[in-house]
Parts: sequence; C-alpha cells; structure tokens
Amino acid sequence: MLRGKFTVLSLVAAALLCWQVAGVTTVNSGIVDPCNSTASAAAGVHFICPQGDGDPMPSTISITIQDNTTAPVAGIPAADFWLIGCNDLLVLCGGSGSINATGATDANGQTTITGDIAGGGCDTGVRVVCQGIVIGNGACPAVCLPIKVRSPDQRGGAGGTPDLLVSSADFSYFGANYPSPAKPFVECVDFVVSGTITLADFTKFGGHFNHKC
Amino acid sequence: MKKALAGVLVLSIVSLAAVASMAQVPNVQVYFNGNPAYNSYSDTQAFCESPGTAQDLYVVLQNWNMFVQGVDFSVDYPAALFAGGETAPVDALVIGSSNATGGTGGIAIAWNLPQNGFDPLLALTVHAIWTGSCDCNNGPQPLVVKGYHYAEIGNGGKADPTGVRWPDYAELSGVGLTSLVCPGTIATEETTWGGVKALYR
Repeated sequence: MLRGKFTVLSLVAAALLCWQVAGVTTVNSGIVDPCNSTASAAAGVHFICPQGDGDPMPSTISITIQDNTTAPVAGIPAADFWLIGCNDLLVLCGGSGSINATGATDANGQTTITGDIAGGGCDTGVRVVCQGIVIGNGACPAVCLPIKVRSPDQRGGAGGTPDLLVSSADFSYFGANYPSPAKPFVECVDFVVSGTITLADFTKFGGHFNHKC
Repeated sequence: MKKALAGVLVLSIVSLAAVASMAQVPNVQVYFNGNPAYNSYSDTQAFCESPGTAQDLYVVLQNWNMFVQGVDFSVDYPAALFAGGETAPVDALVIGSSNATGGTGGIAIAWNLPQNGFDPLLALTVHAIWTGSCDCNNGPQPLVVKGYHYAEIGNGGKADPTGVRWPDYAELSGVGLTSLVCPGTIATEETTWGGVKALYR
C-alpha cells in the first residue's frame, strides 16, 4: 500500500518536472560566456607608468557581457573587470586592481574601460578580463584589442621583465636603443609614437624616472 | 649727401633690429663664469690661462620661453681647453658627453621635472683644464655649441641644439652660439727701439 503511494507520488513529481521544463531548450546561466561576450576599441598607443601618471587611454574600450544564451549579464561590478597584455607582457600594480571598468554592467550587459593603467611592460595589445574570464579567448577566436601599451618600466625584474620601478635598468635599456636612427627601431621605447627614438622619447622617459607603484 | 645719411640710418635700424631679434632666439651658449646658486652667468670670452689651470664652463639655455623637459647639443672645444668631467643638473638623466669629437658626439639631458626655460637655465657644467695650446697672438679660438652628432644629420644627428617642451614633448630647435678664447687679436710687428722712437719724431 505504502509502496504504491510512493510510486504514485514519484510519478506526479516527475510529471510536474516535465511540465515545468516542457518547451525549454536553453537556460540562462548568468555566467559570463567568453565567446558570446565582446570587447572592442579603436587602435592606439597607451603610455603607462607604475605611478599611474601615464597618458589617458587613447580610446574607450566598449564591453558587452552575455551568458551562454546570449542574454546580457547585468550588475557585474566594475572591479570585476581588468586588462591583460595580449602576449602577457604587462605587469600591473596591484594586479587586477590596477584598472577597473567605469561602472557595473547595465541591463544590456554593457560597460566601458577608460582609465589609465598603472604598471610596467610593453605589449602589442590588450584583452579584457571579466570575473577571471578572458573575453573572446575561449573556444572562439581570441580578441586582442589594438591598444599598444608601453611603460618606461620594462626591465629590472628576473629575466628582463618589468619590476614596477623605473630604474637604472630601464635607463640602460632605453640608452641601448637611443637614438633611432642610427640604431634599429625598437617600438617599445617610442614613447611619443613618432616612429623614431628621439630626445622627446628620452625626456618622456626622464620625466618618469624613479616612479614606482 | 642726404641720401647717404638716410642709407646709413636705415642700415643702423636694420642692424639694431637684427640684434634684438637674435637676442630673443632660443639659444645655447658656453659661459666662462657662473654662479649657479644665483642662476647668474657671464663672460662668453676669455683669455688664455696657465697650462693646467682649472676652468669651469657653464652651458646655459636662454630665451626658450617654455618649460623645458630636456635638451641635446654638442660643443666643439678649442685646443686651448680640455673638457674633463661634466656635472649634469640634479635629477637629470644624461646620455653621452658634450664633446662633439668631430661631429659624432653630443649629450642628451632629460630632467626628471620640467625646468623653467623662461629664465637662463643651466644645462651642464663642464670641468675643463687650460692646455697651454693657447697663444692669443694667433687669433681667437671659437668655442661653439652645435647640434647633437651634427656630422650625422639624417642618421640621428642634428644641425642645432634641440629642446623639448613640456607637457607636449615637442622638439624645438635653437641656435648654438659661439664663445671665444682670445677674443681680440693683438696685432704685433717686430721692430727696434729706434723704429719705435722714429714713430714719434
């Protein structure tokens, strides 16, 4: 008798469940989907400094966050966004805390990044990271935003990496490439983006000497 | 007669205007005397000193009328002076040295903070020594400020000194001026006491 009731109740529960999901093909997860989310920006060169007193970002990075069903994900906090170098050659002061979005994602899952980066290194572009997920860097084609980043801090760390201090190691590196011509052009020390390495680049470097996070 | 006078007058006015305009041109010059504590520099001409005598030379920017973030130049030193050590301003980075060495040398200076280019601005103090290769009877020896690596124009060299303006980091050319060792030639002629006395007869 009891066994029969249990069976009936189980069948009813299963029926209810089936009725609830009937017609549902996908479910909104609210989790950031790296392939459905997008980031875009105009090309430019961003001069940064560990002290955070570099130039303004050359263009606004526009971001749209969507989940696996392409539904916008609203309310992601500004601090959950940051940038990394496309070739992982940037070192940020305070790690992901170096740069945030301008605000939380809106109802359309959209926000922007406009701020200056405090950090060191030189990279040919940046990628947007949201909640630890690199946008467009999953199964879909990787999106490397064409914002080149250059800091006067490019040496001083182990293996010729940035150490977040514009030091004599960085000065030596700059001096080895100064001027160009006559020396071969090294894009990473073209701080004023002239296509040559001149006194203007040297003075811009000098203005940030000894700067640190 | 009137035409001649008018011509002389016009020539004088033009000359005065040229001098005045030259004085306003951004320039770099070497001074033989200076008091950096008071930002005071004088004497662009000097006579020979005994061999081995120390001589500080002050390379000064004038009339740039902007905030200066950096400068580059070279100096052609005369045989009378040997440029030894150099002292750059505090908190400045330096690449190279001022000695032009035939046009393939020069110095680039980058200050950590923008400098006041509306007043005379000391860019470099050169600690030189008088060599003894100095005979004012042979005429003046020029001490010329020129461009960075001026013999390599088109390959990183420049004809004139260059300053960088803050905050836009624009590179602007100035004029390198000439200072003199032995400014005035002393004309001499060998003669005898009898010859001298004959001048007064």
